[in-house]
Amino acid sequence: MILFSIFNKFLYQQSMHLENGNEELWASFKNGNFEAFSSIYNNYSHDLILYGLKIQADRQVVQDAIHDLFIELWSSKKRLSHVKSIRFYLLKSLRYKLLSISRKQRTESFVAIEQFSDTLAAEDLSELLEDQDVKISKIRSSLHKMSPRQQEVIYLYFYLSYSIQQIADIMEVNYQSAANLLQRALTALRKLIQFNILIFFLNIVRLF
Amino acid sequence: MYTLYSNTVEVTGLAPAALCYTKVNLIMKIFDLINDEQFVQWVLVPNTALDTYWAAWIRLNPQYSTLVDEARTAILKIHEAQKEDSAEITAMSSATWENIANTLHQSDLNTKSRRHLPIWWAAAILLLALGVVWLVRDNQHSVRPSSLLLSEEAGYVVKRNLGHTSMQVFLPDGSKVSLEPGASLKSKTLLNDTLREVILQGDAFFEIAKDTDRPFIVHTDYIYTRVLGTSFWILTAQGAQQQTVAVKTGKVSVSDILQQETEILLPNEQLTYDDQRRVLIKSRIDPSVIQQAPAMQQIALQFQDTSVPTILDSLSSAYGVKIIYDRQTLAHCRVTTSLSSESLYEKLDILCKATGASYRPQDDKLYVTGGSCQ
Repeated sequence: MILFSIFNKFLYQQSMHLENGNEELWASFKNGNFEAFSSIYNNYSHDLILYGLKIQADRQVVQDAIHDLFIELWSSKKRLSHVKSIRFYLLKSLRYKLLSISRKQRTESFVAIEQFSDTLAAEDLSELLEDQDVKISKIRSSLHKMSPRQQEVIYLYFYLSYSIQQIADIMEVNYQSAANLLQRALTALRKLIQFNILIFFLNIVRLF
Repeated sequence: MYTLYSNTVEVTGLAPAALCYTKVNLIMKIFDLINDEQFVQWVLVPNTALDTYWAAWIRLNPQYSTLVDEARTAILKIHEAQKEDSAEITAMSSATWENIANTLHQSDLNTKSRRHLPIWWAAAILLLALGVVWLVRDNQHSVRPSSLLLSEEAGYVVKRNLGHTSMQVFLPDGSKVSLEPGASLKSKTLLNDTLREVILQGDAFFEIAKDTDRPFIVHTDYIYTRVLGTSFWILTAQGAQQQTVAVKTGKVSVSDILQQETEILLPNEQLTYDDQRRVLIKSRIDPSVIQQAPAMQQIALQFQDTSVPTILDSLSSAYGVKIIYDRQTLAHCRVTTSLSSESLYEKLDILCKATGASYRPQDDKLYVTGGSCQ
């Protein structure tokens, strides 16, 4: 377990390190350096794809949006201002793009998922009865049941370790709304995990 | 009493209901910690300031040390749960980059000669460029096509494998190329309606998406390989000035640069062009030649008391080759076998031995004749 956390910190070190040299990289890209542009893509495409998939489940739409985003970046590179965090800027831009796409299309699936917040499917119960440890795969499937907005907040908070203020900035809400959103997401997650443990114990009781 | 090991609980005395309550209470406390963004950031990101703060906090609150561990585990698990299938994400990332590079090169080509041109001028220039390509295809006797296409002014995307393992290249039409170390692939970015073309240096394995309207052409130093949709290797033996095309599925047409000689290859056939002697040598696949190619996946088929016509049909669709046989003659033949590591010809050898039939390749089809079984 200790090794696990050390390993994760190391990975995080790698990704945080990327944020440090980024002013030169951005400036170089603005000047028309295609290699810098390509580096920016390589550094952040994974995070962008993961983020996009939280907001919008359709893989093709996410890929197209990222494609359009980078084409626009390259076309307007001279007009872009200096950015403090490239990742932050890219995430925010991608979010805006994906939401305007779904606003145009009014995809039904986007709305339907909102309703699934706190409910547990019957399959989960039987699975969990056999499994005491809350495995990562279980957490993942619990997360997939949450609304896109909640998944988005969880991603920004737990994967990119953004503060509530940063989350508020990306999602374009005020600090309090972001804090509330995080609270609701954590409550939903807690209820899912708690429910798992409760079921486990109810099962133990039946044995006595 | 209870002790905690990760998220499991060891029961030693308290009634289960009370345990249940205590555990739930603990979870609530864990989530209090998780709600603290400074705690989460401390767990996830190395930071000396946060380290100092939380080390001190733990020292002042030793009763919470288990709680801290639990919370940390939970945070790390939730962090891990954010990742999806990394192979899929990597593939999506490469594919998207291909599109980005292609789009940029194409628009670059359109605006390259003159900026701020009226649209119809750009269209005229594009048509002119396409016209040049068309002329080149017609004048193959006077001109070496690959040298003309290697013109550096036109828009190209070049992928070079500078690593030690195969590099996957995704092309916009859905085809996939595995470049061996040291190989490079140059693809034209003019979206051509009639052709898909690439220039290859070094060794590669191609999996070409089927598009009967647009043949896929690979230009190499000595040969010109043309396919509609198929998978095959192209290998170069530098010292000997030879190039080999080996077919896995589908059929491939290979000719020398000047298109004076053309051969059609079926699965498990290979063709070697020797530049010194200027000949095309066709043969069955020499496993040693392709041994090092990692894309070598076997086509494995299991048959349990299956009629031979069914087996032949399966082989035909698996390898993408038309197999012609007399259904009547072989209708009563049934075979139980598993065919895996053999080449197509070896598989046919086995079937023919079992049925007394024989086969021969002709043009681009396989003919199976004879055979009887009662």
